[in-house]
Amino acid sequence: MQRLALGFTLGFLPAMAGCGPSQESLHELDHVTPAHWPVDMADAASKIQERLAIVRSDPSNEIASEEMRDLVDWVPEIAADTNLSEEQWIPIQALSETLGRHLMSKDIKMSDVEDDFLRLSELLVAANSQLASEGLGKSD
Amino acid sequence: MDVLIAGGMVRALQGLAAASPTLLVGMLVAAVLRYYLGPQGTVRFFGGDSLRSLPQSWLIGMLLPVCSIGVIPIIREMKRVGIRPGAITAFAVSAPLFNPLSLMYGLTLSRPLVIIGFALASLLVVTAMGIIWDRTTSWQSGDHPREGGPIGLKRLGVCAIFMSRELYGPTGGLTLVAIAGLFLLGVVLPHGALQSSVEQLDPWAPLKMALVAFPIYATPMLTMSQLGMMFAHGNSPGAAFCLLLLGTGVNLATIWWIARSYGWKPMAIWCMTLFLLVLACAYAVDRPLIPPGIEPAGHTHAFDIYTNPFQQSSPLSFSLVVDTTLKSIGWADFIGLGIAAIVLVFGVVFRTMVSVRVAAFETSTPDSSQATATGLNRHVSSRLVGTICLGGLVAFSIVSCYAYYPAPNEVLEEMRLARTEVLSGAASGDFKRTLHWIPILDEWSRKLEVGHAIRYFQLRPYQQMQAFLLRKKLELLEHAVEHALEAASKDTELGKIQLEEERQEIKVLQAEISKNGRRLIDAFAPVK
Repeated sequence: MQRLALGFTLGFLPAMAGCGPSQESLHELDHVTPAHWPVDMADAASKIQERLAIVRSDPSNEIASEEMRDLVDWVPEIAADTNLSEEQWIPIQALSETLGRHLMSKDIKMSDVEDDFLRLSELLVAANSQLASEGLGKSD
Repeated sequence: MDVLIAGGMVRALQGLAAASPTLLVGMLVAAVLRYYLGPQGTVRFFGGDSLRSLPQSWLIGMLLPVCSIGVIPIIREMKRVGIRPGAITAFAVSAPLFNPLSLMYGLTLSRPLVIIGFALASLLVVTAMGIIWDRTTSWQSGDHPREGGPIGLKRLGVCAIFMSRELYGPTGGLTLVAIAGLFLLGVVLPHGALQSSVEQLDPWAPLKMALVAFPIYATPMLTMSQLGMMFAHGNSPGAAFCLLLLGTGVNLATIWWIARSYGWKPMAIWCMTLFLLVLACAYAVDRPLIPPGIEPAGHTHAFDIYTNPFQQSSPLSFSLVVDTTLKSIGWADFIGLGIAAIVLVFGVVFRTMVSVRVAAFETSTPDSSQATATGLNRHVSSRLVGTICLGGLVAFSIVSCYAYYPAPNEVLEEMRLARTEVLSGAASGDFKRTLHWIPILDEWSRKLEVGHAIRYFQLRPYQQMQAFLLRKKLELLEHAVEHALEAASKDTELGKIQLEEERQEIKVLQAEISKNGRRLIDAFAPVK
């Protein structure tokens, strides 16, 4: 009985691990960057406004809504990856977090928080302009 | 040398080294329970014979710094004094999951709610399991050995003899059984297996992990870092829970010991009950705990440590095997191994060459039931001494957090050195140096967060974000460097083009990591 159990385990483990031949190339494990990933704060603001326009005209557009949720989640990271100071970053992060909480709640529609999206977009544009005028620029 | 066997041996040796510090702690705790707390004190320590012993054993397990191998001598002692099997199970499964050190680490890797949720879910699992399993064993309440035991300075010697005989004895044997699980996985699972097996929203992910987890041995710290990697890559939270309880909480030695102590049928019931309870909890938390805003990466490196470290096509050499083995062994593991080796040598001596003298020494030790207080030689209750010993151990593990997670200014200096190695390696094309230093810099970034949190009792979102950005860029750099090495090995026109593309990517990441370094210093500047 014990040998049967051991044999079963030895045979079963590889199958359940989903293993077979090891990968051919390391490229198989590349992180795939989503197409709507913003390259900088200005791009993030632009993408938010584009999708806001789509959702205004077609509130049932799930793809645009989903992408806006993604953008809201990503904005703090995009903004932190620049030379913004912590004080300049906090309002962007706080608004993104608030928006994110609203969007997680199923009883809030995109149109209910449109002003917040516009405000976030304005914050990003303003922060980007400030960096440009200070000559510090984006991280890349 | 066969790749399969070499891979299995490497994983087994790495596991043995990782286990040594907490194994020593486990044997010390068992000695304290046996010779200081005594049978009645031990039973009371773990909550007596009532159902309260289940959550109480769980709580004690959370505080003691032991792994699923270090827990073995303790549960042997618990069985010897007649503690209820459900409480033994609760302790055996929960003790390896968390301790103050790993809890601190875990709170910076995953969302705190997740770690707390997992801890409470483990309480639910072990309590339910303990209640069910108690009914299947022949345990009788009140069946405890008599009090009495060595007293005086010689008691220290008796403890040392006990520990060394345990290591060259039942505990040592069970340790090898546990490590055999790692050997088995290293042989059976090829390099890169499990990387795509536990994806988010995959309904089979928790089940797959549950089935593979039993032979796993992992220290609490390793598991915390794996949980963090799984959440960072958007893997299945349910699979993460299965890894925690079944991978970290249990190993082959635990199962073997239960079978030998309680019988094969109770063991089968124990395994099935644990498996089903964990799976039920895993599926319950799988969707609710999906982290928001994390794009599933489609793979994870969290389980690479269990698979064969060598590719099938890799040319093997003895030096490569040695280098690969030593790569993951830290200074604490080396010290633990050294001390364990000394204890083992004494164990061999005590059990073989001088066994008669040892027996004579033990019988000559005054017994607590006969000792009388004379002069300055006072009878201090074993309960008091034992409680101080165990309380001291818990306090020591909390204090050691401050040593393991240094102050931010010290960590930033270490990070500066590690970053220099990473970037200079990338700039000079010495990619192997870069690959060596990336995990070191990654580790320091986590210690930076914890070191700051435990000293200032806060960790601001900006600080967490900058540390996260560093780790993300390090992972991208690691991928780019690996691709560059792969392209360089092709020696074709396409390979040269790919190599050039990767070099450009590496150059961009070098600049980003350098800028992130300055932001980290600003973010973690001393709190005024």
